[in-house]
Amino acid sequence: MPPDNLTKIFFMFGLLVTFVKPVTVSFANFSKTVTIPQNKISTQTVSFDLPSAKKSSQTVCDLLNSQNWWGLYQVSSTEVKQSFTQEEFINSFGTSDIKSCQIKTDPFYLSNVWTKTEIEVSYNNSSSKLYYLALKNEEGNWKMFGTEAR
Amino acid sequence: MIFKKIFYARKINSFVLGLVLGCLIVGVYSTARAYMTGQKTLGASVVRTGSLDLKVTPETKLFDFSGLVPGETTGEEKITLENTGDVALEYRISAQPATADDNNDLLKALKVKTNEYAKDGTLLVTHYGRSTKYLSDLTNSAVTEIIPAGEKRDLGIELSLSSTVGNEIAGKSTNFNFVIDAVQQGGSF
Repeated sequence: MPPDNLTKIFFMFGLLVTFVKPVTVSFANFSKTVTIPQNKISTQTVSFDLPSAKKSSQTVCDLLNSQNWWGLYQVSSTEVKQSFTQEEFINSFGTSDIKSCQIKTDPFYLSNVWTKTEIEVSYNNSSSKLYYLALKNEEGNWKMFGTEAR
Repeated sequence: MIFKKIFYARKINSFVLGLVLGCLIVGVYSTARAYMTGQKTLGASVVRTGSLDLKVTPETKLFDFSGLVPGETTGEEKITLENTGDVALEYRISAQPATADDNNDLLKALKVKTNEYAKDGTLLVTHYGRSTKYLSDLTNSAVTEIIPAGEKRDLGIELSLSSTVGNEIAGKSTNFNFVIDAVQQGGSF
């Protein structure tokens, strides 16, 4: 390319730099922000009073009535916790159809370690069933060992 | 070599000359304009902008739940959003801890599910139905439904506590706010 042509190109480029400005695209629109404050969630404490078999039976029934499967896991014996993780336990009860629980008898003391109580479990389909609720004494606390249909 | 230097110097001079000339043209054009003008006043004209406004119910305390346990849900609470402006709007929702102290293990363990409802109250769509979203991660979550001017829509929110959490979150509480950002339909947030 001849030098004169290059000079013209540089001259034109100078003009272009002067006239052509960068284009900025911006969006503007109406907007509004609303806040819903003061929402609060709190969790239950891990405090279950299980000093006697009678009290523990009532606690188990209360937990069934409130469908508190996590609480039921907390009051379960070591054997139950070794067989099920908390998640498995909660999920298995989560699909159950239990509506309510009622204690039918005082505990029968089989030994210093074992007792059983009769409970009645009602279901959402209006049926009900009697169970023996077995409790095991672990370090002074009567824990839920399991249930057995009568 | 000398020729090359002269050649490049000449190119640079041409560039500078072009730049100076351009500036001069712009300066003269913008300072020395004169027009024949006339003025006529027409009757009062009104240009009114559209307005975007939103009324949210409840205004506070959508959730006030105590004694939540792992695996349990709060049940669904509904926010009613009423478009009180005169342009259609779309919105998104976020959850934010009320204070730094409230950004605790409990907030991070709460799972959230949202339900969008149509004008007639029928369920349109569920977001995070498999409970894969934590409340602490609910940031600028877009809502599909657009609310036309003058209409209402419900947004249901349900919180639950993961069944896998341990006793470390027992007895804890968290305070948080929901923030709703609305823009005109097609606008950018």
